[in-house]
Amino acid sequence: MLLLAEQLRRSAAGGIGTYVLGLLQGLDALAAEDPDGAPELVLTASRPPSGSGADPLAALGHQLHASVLPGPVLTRMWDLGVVRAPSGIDVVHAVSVATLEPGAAPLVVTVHDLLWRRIPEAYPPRGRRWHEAALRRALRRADRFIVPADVVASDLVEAGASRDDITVIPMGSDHMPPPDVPAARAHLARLGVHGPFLLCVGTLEPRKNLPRLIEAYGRIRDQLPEPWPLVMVGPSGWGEQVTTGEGVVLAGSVSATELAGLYASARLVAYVPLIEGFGLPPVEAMSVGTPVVASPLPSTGGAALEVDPHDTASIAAGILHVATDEPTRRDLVAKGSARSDALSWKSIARRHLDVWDQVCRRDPGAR
Amino acid sequence: MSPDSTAATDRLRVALDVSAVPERPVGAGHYILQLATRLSARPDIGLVLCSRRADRDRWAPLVAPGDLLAAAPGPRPLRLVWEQVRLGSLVGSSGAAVHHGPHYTMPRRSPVPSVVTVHDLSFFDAPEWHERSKVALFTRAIRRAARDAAVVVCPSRVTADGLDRWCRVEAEVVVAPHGVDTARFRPEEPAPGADAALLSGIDTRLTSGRPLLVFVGTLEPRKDVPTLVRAFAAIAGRHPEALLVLAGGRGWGADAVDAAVAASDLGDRIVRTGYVVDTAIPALLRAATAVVYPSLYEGFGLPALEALACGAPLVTTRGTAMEEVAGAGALLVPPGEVGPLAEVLDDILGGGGDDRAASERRSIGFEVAAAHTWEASAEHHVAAYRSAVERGG
Repeated sequence: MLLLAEQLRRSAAGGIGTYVLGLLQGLDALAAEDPDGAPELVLTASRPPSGSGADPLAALGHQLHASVLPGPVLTRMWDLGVVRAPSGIDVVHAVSVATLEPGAAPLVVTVHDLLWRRIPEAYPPRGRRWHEAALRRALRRADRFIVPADVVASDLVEAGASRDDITVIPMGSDHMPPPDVPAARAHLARLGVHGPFLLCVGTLEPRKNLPRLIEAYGRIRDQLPEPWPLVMVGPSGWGEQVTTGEGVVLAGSVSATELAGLYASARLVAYVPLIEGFGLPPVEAMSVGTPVVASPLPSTGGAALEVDPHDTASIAAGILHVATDEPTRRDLVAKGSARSDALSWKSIARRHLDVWDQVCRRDPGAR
Repeated sequence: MSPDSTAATDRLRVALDVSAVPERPVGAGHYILQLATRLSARPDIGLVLCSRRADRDRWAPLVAPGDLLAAAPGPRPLRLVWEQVRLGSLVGSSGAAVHHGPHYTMPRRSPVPSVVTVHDLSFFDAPEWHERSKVALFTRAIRRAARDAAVVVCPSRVTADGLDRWCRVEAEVVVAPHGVDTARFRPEEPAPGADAALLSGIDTRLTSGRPLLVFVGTLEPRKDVPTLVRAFAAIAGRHPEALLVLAGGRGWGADAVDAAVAASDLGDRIVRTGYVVDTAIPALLRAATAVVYPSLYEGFGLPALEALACGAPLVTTRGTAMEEVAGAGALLVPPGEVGPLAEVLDDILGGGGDDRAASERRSIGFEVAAAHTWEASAEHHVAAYRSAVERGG
């Protein structure tokens, strides 16, 4: 079983990075229960970062096949089909549309979304071109697709995949480290935030719909018991700068333990993208017992208060209601923890194992 | 008007910045020297050279006395400042219609359009191969060239195509492959016994008649010599006579080569010549059973072309500029992988390859070399200059 782990070499590994680590966590948990049933995993990626010290990917405890090629060069060689999967592999799993020629082994590809097709204006032209070309290669190379939601499956069928080759497996939720609330509080204190606050998590980029969120917050700020600030966590993406309003605090990037601490100490998490293949932040918030206000997303499973992301008034009303109405909050917290419990990475990993087994059985020996 | 003065005014005046060429040019410096030489011989070009003050003597023979602007300071930081604040107006007053920055950079304010050569994109693709200060400097320079130059010249299609992965490209992008000097790089030695005399002066094992696998190039990370050493080690037992020759100066990646050689335990069968003088390189290529150029990444990869011009069997990497240039004239392996390279070397040394295919590759190699002259390269550049003048600043 060869897992393409290049995403973990990126400085901002993002949602796909979370997926890879969550999947490994789930597979490790399964292997601990049943060492004989566990697949032998090999991770592959570009050269380790220069400088001394051990390769961070080697620390994950699996075999590592590290290329001597730097990341951008290796992915291009994968694209071109020059660098292929090593021999002796039973299944190759690509964790995104960045695939390689699998050789004799069947290839499973996880497609997280096809949003660059739905909302092209939310992507830089270069990114769009790369995604489209990578998707075409994936369609040619893959034996099976995994998608996180039905909506992505439909998009993938429209792009040319057969519905029979697609398996829907959601993302997991239990990947966060124990919350470091003191560190999170200290980070907030440096930004002048002391008491309760509202939280929004995600890269600052156009499809996250941040201008409407900020406007909605501005409308109800005066109606909150106190003017609780809206803290926005996440790296800057691309596109226009976010214009903040009164009470809006940009907190930048934080460590995983700080992020967990922020989730755990927030009054609520507001996550209102226009569209999303899955939407991880809501289930992360649910896993630490924080109520969520969100657009209709595959991830929430009815456990968030749903708002219309195109309607500022709807977002504003949702935030105000969840921030202040105790019965609603209790209800959301209960539903949220049930939802996140259903999404353990161990169960997600088991469903991946099933898919890998199926493709191996369907393709006995070489293709 | 006399015919002479008509000819003079018809000439396109081109200012070429040669201030980056070091004392002993390799790689890009070699390219600039060759380009200046070929341009100076063309009747349709009025060449103006901008050189370092201390470097006047080297360039003076190439241009008319008034057309050498030997005004650049020596140290690189000063020179880059000079390029920004002084070069533009110098070029303007020289009467040049176009300026060519042959090594990534261009003056900020220039009264004439600029042509800029972008050799490769490794500052973006593999910043770990470069000093940090250079990465910041050259990524900025490349972004600016892509936006503000009239024409960007790249030595290979793979570089030209990669430009818009990293930059907003508003310049016209043209591909002008390098040339190879086929008077020096040719299958026949200049005089009987000349090659052996040169080679035995470097290391007597080179003329012992044993099969030689030859690498020529600086020992730096992108050349991936450790993979070659490991591939050789994998098959060395099956070919006890064969030697691996590593001919090149120590770059900053040489420690990895030392480690690979030490781990191979084949120190006595790996000939390390150190820096080899220019004149001996054709002899070395002619003596090779095969030339191996395992580089992971090059803007062009001139050593591969030089090997073909000498008629040497060439093993190089797929998906790179070398594949683009050498094409069917070379045996191609994926970059960075020991196994496939070892297999190819095993075939070559064992004579297990297909003889007809090998001789076909050799004749394709000669065709490739014949098509890549510095005159042809200069011709591409002149077209780029004319296009720049048409497009304006």
